[in-house]
Amino acid sequence: MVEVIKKGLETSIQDYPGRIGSLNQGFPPSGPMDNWSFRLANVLVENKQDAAALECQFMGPSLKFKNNRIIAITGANMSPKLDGNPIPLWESIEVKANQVLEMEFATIGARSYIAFSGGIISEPWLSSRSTFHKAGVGGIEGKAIQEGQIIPLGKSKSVAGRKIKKSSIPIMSTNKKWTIEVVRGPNDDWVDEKGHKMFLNSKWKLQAKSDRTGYRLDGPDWSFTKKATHKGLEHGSNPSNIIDQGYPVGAINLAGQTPIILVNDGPSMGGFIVPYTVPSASFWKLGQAKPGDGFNFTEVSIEEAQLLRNEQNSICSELSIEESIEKNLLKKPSITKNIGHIEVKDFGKEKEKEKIRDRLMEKKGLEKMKVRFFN
Amino acid sequence: MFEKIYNISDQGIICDFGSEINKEINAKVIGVFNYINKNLKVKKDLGIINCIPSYNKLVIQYDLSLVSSVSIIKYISSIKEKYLTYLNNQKKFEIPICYDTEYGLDLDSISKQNKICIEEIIHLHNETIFYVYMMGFLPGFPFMGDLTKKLFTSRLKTPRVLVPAKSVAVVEKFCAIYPFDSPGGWNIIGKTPCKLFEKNKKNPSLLNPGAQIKFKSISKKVFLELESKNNE
Repeated sequence: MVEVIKKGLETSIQDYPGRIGSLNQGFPPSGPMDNWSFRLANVLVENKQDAAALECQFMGPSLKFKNNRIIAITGANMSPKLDGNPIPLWESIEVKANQVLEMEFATIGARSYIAFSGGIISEPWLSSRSTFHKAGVGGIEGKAIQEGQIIPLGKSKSVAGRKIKKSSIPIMSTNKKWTIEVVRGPNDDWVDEKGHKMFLNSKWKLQAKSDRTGYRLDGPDWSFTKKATHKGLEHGSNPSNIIDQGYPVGAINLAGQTPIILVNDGPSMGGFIVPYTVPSASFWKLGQAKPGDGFNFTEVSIEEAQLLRNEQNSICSELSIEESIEKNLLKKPSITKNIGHIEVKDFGKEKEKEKIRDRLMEKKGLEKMKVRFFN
Repeated sequence: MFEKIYNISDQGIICDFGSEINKEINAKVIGVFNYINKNLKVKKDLGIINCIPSYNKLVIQYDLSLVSSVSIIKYISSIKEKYLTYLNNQKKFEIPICYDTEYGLDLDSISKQNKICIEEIIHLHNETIFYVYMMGFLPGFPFMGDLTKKLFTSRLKTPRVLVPAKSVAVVEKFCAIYPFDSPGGWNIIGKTPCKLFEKNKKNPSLLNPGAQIKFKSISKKVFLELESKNNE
């Protein structure tokens, strides 16, 4: 068990994939905003994928441990310290009873994840422990964690010293700029060609009024096709209005002239058009962006979005654990290694080539992970 | 039955049933939604993780690690109208409502705009048998129709920052009940003492798509009694 000494800015219990199967009742999935980092935290402490852990937003909590426990911290760097001594991210760590974990403001990224071996075993609601504070459900008493609360944990069983391979760690922006992948649709035919060009070529700024419900963006004005400007009354009066429809998570909702990216706690439906959708493999970037950060968007096809998704799924597994030196010595040297369906060639020349390609692709604003996939 | 079925993003499908809002189209949406849910109970490996019915569309979210978009689309396309059983299980509800102007914050302005007296607004609203097209926006929030043309209104120019929970509100041909305190731009005509959403119940939401609703007018005295009973 763990006692909350300081609650941080908004530290909430989340699980992955969250509260699924209830969107028709208006319940969003909730769950971690950066599910890449979250899933790797659970991998580090050998938890099941659906184990609950803590999401720390902007500033982390201080926690006192009642028993010995293996933990792992991933995601944003909130300079974690154990009894005053800095501890690394992306690595499983042993904490002794009565030790205190302290976290500060995030220096890189926005959300940090703390996984405990055995997982958090708070009371699930509609088959998920994820906190959805708007309806007061999940977590402990339906809210972010509070000072003095005891967080109940399952049985610890992992070991310290497990590390995530460098190549499996998401690369966070250090210059407050993010390139976010988008897929066209479902209502892309309501925006004209000028509007599409404007969206993809403009810099957007994440407004302060952004939270786990929606990310509001500041930028230039949109323009529309006749479908939006000459339409039946049932579609509403503004060009961005449409007959109320279901929204996928990641939908870029156009409210008047303001794009709002609907994230984990967002509404399930509404009457605004969705010209673009952020694919699930890029959700982690939204989770790690801070208000004031700059976004630009790059279009990918549905097939590319699915490839990115599949690759992220294979990264978020035991395959991303660095093998210890002893184990490597016992193993026969091999030139190629199979990571799921991705082949990573392991000699210098290939690495050099990969680096060059990475640089080229980064220029185009694409991600490193994608390059490896299309090798 | 489907006008179009197409992909959205990496793990979503939209089934478009037509461009209008009417009960016939919506009944098909709900029929397919119920059919898929029934299937999901026996076949866990379908890979569908969320289904969101709206007036004329069904949005399906699936897990790409379990199933491909091609096979989901094939499965959806194989659903025939004759498989649907939506007509047999429409639940009926009578929901008490108090139209006192203390709760019906916009009765006055609707009366002025639509040139119709408040008694007539109450009478017309009260005699309508509503049909729940869809649930959403907020947990437990029903989109119900159809109001008579005489009561058609547009959204408030500036939405309220706070609509009190349990307010009954109208816009265009629709009527809704706010389950929680929430921002909102609909015209408020009254308040119900009923809880639309109870998190400790097995089915937390009182209403479901396809349900039929009739409002029953109650006095302020009865409203206060019922409300204090409900809050016990």
